[in-house]
Amino acid sequence: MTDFTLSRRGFLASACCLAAAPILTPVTFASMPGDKRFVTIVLRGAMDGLALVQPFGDAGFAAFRPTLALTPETGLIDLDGHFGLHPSAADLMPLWRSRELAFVHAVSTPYRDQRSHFDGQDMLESGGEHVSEEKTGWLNRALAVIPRSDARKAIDVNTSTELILTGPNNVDVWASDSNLGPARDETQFLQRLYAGDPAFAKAMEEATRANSASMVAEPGGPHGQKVADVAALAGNMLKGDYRIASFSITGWDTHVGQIGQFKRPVQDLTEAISTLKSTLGPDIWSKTVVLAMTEFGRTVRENGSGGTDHGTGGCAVLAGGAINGGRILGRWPGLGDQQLLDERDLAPTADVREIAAAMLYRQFDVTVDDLTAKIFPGVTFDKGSQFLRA
Amino acid sequence: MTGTWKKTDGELKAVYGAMLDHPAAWANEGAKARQPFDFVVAGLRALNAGSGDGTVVSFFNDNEQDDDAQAMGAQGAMAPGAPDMGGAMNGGATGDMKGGDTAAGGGPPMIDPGDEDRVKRRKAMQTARALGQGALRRMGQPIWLPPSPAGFEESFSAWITASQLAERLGWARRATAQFGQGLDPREFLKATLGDAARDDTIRVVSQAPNKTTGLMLALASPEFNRR
Repeated sequence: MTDFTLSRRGFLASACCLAAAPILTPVTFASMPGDKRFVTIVLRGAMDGLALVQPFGDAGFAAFRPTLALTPETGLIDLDGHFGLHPSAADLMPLWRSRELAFVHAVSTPYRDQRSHFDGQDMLESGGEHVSEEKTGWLNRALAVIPRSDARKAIDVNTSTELILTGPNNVDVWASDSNLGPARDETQFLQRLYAGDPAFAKAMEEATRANSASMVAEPGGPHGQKVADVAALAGNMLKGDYRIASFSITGWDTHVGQIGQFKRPVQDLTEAISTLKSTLGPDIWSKTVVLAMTEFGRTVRENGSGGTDHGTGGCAVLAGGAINGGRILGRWPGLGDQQLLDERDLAPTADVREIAAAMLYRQFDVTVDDLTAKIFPGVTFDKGSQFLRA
Repeated sequence: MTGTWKKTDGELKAVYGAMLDHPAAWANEGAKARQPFDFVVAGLRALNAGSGDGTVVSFFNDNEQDDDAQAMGAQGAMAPGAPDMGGAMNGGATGDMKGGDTAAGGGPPMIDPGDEDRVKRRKAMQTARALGQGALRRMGQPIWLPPSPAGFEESFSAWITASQLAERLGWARRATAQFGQGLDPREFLKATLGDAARDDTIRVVSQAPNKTTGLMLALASPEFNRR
């Protein structure tokens, strides 16, 4: 306490600029020569792939989800007569029609049965076969084996890298001035946290009621703009020396009231992809792959709270001019009684790591040996991989 | 305490001793709210922010060292009476955006070593504003400025109001985003609250949608905010 040096003037200066104080959203980059670009987006909280790309053509789907399932008659955007896109992602349809967008259904990491977001995200980002097997991120390990990889000095380490790019290889971190704000899925956890303490529950309820925006407590434009800022920052860095960028989108943990809650993260994802394309421009976009992936999927049945719970098989999103898209990829396992995993989850038919391996192989000439031994230990990947045709 | 005062002819040390020996001094744990200063310092220490040895004073005294802060201080001083919050706030926002603009200008930002130092200093200052004194002011406990000689309020209801709770949540969100990398919320909760964590809290924290939110919930928990 005796070390405090604080004048009135200093205090006034400090008190003034609070509104501008940023929460730091790390965007991580890696730089290397060559033309091709690769962007990973980590969808934290377990995205409901069955809500983003809905199998309306499956006879049982509507029965599993009496309040959540959509049909082309109720706003779902028909993609191929069997699957339909969530209406909040409507702005992605031009990319779908120009074959620069694809969805891979029924994919997962090797993570099974435990259903922890923390461990699931660790697996997704570390690329291992088991929890805590790999201490570094797979995208960082990939840097070491990309031919002609070139390290850059760090710009500023104000905030740390996300796990996916963490490791011994040099990665720059650029903290976006924007923030993604409190995720929509945060409120339900706060309500549960305070359920046993009436004084806190009351303060929380009043704060929410007085102004739901006060819980947001961060300045800035309407939501979505901020995600666009992060994506624009990534896009601009990729226009320069950088070839790899990674950032996250949160808000996917839709246990309660999914109809309302799911819209916002979908809009974020849509805006992120659209902004990357517009920022990069046609030439660079044509050499770019964007891979958005999540730690696991959600239950096929909706729960009693109008939401869905932690599942297994999920959905990955591929975008970019380098994609042969306009298709649903992967092998659809179906929703019949014998087809669900443990009678509750979409059965995974492919390893999400195989998609990432295929993209590293195609974009940066990483060898099959490196991919299966160093980057994704235990993954099945070879030159015949279905995702090399993606 | 009165008895001890009389018996010892006003020996204060003995009076304090009597106070601490009284059972009431040890009862009702958790009935009061942890006040903002304690909340902020405990939170920074739990996250191992600052120098990493529990010293978090840098969050409270960085302002004097930055040329931008001096400039803004001067702006504030030019408006006698009420400080010109608006003007200085705009100044801050412009400063904030410089980094982003450089990047948005195309390609990687080129920063010469001198600038890099300045950027670092400015960021340290912004952090102090966001997580240090500024946060305390918004939570209702501006440092060195109690509302009266009697000091700050003791009652729970003075500290956990809707707006102050929202500030605490915002603080926890920002602090964990910045300093929580690599921490597992389940272990963090154990290390921070130990036996004081209720089963409900352990469950909610370990089910959080991502690690940063899990850490935030630990700092937002009633156990962390009561004393």
